[in-house]
Amino acid sequence: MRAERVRFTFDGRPLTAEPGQTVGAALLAAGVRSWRRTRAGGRPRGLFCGIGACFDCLVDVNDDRAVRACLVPVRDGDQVRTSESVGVDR
Amino acid sequence: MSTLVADVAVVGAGPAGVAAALAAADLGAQVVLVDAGQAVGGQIYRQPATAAAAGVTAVGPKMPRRLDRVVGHPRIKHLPGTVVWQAVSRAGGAGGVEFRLWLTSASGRTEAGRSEAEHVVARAVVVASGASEVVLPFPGWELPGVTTVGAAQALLKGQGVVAGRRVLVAGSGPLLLPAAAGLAEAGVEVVAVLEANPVTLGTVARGARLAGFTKKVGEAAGYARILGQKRVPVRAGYAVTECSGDGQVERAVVSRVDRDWRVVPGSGRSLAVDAVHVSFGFSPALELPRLLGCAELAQPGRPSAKVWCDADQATSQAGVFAAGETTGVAGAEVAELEGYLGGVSAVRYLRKTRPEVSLFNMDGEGLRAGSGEQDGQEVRAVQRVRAALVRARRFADGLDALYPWRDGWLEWARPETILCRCEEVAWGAIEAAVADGARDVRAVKGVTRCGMGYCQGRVCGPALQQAVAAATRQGLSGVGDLGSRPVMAPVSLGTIAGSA
Amino acid sequence: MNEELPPTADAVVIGAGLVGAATAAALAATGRRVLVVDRSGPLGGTTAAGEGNILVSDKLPGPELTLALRSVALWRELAEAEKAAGGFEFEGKGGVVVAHDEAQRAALLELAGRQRAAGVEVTPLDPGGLAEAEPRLAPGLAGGAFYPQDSQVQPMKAVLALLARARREGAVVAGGAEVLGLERGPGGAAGAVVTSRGRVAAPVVVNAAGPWSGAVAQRLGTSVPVRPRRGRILVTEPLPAEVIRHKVYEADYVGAVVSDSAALRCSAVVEGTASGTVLVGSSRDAAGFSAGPDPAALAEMARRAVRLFPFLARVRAIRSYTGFRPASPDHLPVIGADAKVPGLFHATGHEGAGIGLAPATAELITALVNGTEPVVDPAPFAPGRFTEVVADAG
Repeated sequence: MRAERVRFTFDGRPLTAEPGQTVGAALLAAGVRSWRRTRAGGRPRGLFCGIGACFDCLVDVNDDRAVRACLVPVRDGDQVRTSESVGVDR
Repeated sequence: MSTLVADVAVVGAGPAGVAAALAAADLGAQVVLVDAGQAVGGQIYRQPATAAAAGVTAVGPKMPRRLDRVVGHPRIKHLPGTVVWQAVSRAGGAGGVEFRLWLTSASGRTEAGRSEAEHVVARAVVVASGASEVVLPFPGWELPGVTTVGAAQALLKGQGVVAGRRVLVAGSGPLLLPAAAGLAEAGVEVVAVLEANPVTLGTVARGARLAGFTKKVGEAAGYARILGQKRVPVRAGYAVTECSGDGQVERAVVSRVDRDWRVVPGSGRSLAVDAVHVSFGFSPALELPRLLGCAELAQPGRPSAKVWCDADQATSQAGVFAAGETTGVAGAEVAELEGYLGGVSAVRYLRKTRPEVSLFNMDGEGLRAGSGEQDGQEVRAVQRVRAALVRARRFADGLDALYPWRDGWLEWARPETILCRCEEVAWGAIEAAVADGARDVRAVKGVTRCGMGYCQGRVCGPALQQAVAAATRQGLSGVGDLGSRPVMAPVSLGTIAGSA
Repeated sequence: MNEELPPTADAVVIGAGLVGAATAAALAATGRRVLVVDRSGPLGGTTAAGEGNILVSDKLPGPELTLALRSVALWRELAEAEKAAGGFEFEGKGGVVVAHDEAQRAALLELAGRQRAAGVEVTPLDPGGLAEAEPRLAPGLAGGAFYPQDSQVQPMKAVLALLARARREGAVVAGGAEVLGLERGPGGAAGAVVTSRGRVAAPVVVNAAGPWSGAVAQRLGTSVPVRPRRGRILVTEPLPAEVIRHKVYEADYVGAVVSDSAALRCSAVVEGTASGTVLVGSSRDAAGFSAGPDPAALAEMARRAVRLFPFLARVRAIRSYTGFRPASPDHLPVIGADAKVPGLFHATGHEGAGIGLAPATAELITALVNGTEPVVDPAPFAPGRFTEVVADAG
């Protein structure tokens, strides 16, 4: 029996992921290569080192800002958003 | 603040950390094993986290079965998804040294089921935190779709996902072949594998000396066979020197390079790709050992130092042991053997320094406390490990000699090429800072912000050091490095506020 | 900068931090051939660990406040002049001092009144005014005060800019040159500085070696009671702009500065930077030059910062660093001629205020060296005020 897909959104767009998949892997699998704009240049960034060392893959998930997409497993109902490369201010 | 008390804290659950934890726990020590990953194995033995990943034909080494029992071992408390953000050693009770490690979630999110322990107190520490991948800047390397080779492997082996379908694998070092073979097996079109160092008579001679390591040669032949079957060209003396595209990598320039990695003029050819995976070897992770005050050894010809240790894996700090890539990048086999020695040495250190304190043996086999004597079996096992280590290190050194580190890549970057990805500092800013009077890495960092971003110089460090050394016409040892930062992972001010 | 050491100079400045750089630029502008020596390079010492503060708000009326007011004005001139060359991120952002309760507020008001009489611009803030100045502050604070003259600068860029100025006037900057001794001439006057890179004959030597000034003074054959007072800073991840608009600190900060305690004293100092990070300080203790991890200081600084700005609880620190302030026994800088060695001057002991006070210090030293009329009365800063080497207080 196939496991249920995890349902999440990216900038409002509904997507699904495999259970256990990270946000970064799920986005790549869905054809999304970048999910962050850099602070100074507004340049797109996605996954670079894949293991949590480079902090390039920062993404916003629900109330969390600038978390590493390559480390965070995606959960059902997560609202993933393009990060502006800054931490939380609330 | 919740505290875990243990005899030995092991940081890192790659082959070195797992072996150290098992060795110490088997001898009766209570062990805490802290690891950033969700499952043991580290990078080299990355385990599948999804069904798709489990379905991927694994190319490359698998975690040896003998290490599987670390999971569920009665005397090992495993803390996955966890990193150390601060560490101190202080004189503990009754003359010993006590180590305190502060923990936080690796991902920044609290995962369900993760231990809530925030603090570990231990009487000995084994540092097995591995290495970080060395990457070198070139125009367009910051485009989405350009990743490290390690990222390609982590995605494939851990997640069953690829970053691109038509890719280049480039850089230098023994990781390129198995990574490319794995991608090719998974159906990715690997346009080419590019090793920057050309094959020379010297390379051939050095390679021939490794012929006696038949198992390793067989492994390499296996990768070559897969690449041959998939018609993947493997070229030496070539590098990716530029990437371009609209919001992601779409084209890569492949250039011939000379033995110093300088581009041969006019040799650049542009290829259509949707991902580029690059790696120039590894640098030992030094943050935790530095924080604990461990002495380091410079590595001539490499951009990073390594932690010094003696033949028992003891560092210069009493009670701190180091194993695996931290003591010098030498691969999984050496790491596991060093880990075993490190775990045994940690227990022997505890027996000697705190003989009045029992190593608690939970399954009633009898306490080993107080006697200070070494079991005959233990002695023989250690001797076998030392012998195996000699041979394994000989291979590792021989392999290392096939991949010298050169500096011609300094010319790949243009003034506007990004050097520090986090702070978007351009290559030209380094030269400008030096022209303004900065003479070392610390000063250049101070005025350019290079290395001050989220990754704290983990990515740009080696390149920055080399760039400053070249610009100030000094040796690498003269320019310093980005140093240690006593907050080793991002941790909220709320957590810090409650931490002491 | 790996230029050959000149065999002679009109003045040798020891230390390529902000005080040394400002002094070199000021001396060179009066026509002196200046040589700056540093045992490593520029930014090898305390300046690189500084926040870049230019403050009048944290100073009690007295000689240091007088020096600070003069220095703030000089900084403004320097910032204008350097704008064309890219500048050093001078921000006249102002400082907000926060009182937690009525008692603190009353004390703050009293201090502000005395400061105003001494020439400081200061506006008391009631809770509403405080909230308007800094909307993210915790509710329930008793009030505070706003000091528009407080400013911030990027200290490292400032050092390089000032050294460049000095070079344009003919100064030489030599790194990797550690001072080993001083050759004395007739009458015991300064004759030549002996360094690890060679000997330089010079009639004037300025000791601007920050927390190492005491050790350097000993090598020069004299003594100056300057000792390190350690401080830690936490740096956060980048945040959206304007989250914290001013330098904000607790009213008990002044107490910490003038305390003689060697034990850990923390007082919240929180400010944003141009790069979006927030700097969280401050701590003070006497622990020599030890820079190892300090869980107690980090925890206390974080607690106080979160108490002021509750939103900071979820903001992540990404690094911390340590600096050593050069502290003198009476908490006043040591600026002026050495009591024993003619031709030797000291410009040190600024204890956490060195960046703000550097231009006025440079101006004062230059006047003393050249024998011209100083703008600020030098007497309170005289090295000779210490009649003996003071025993270590902590």
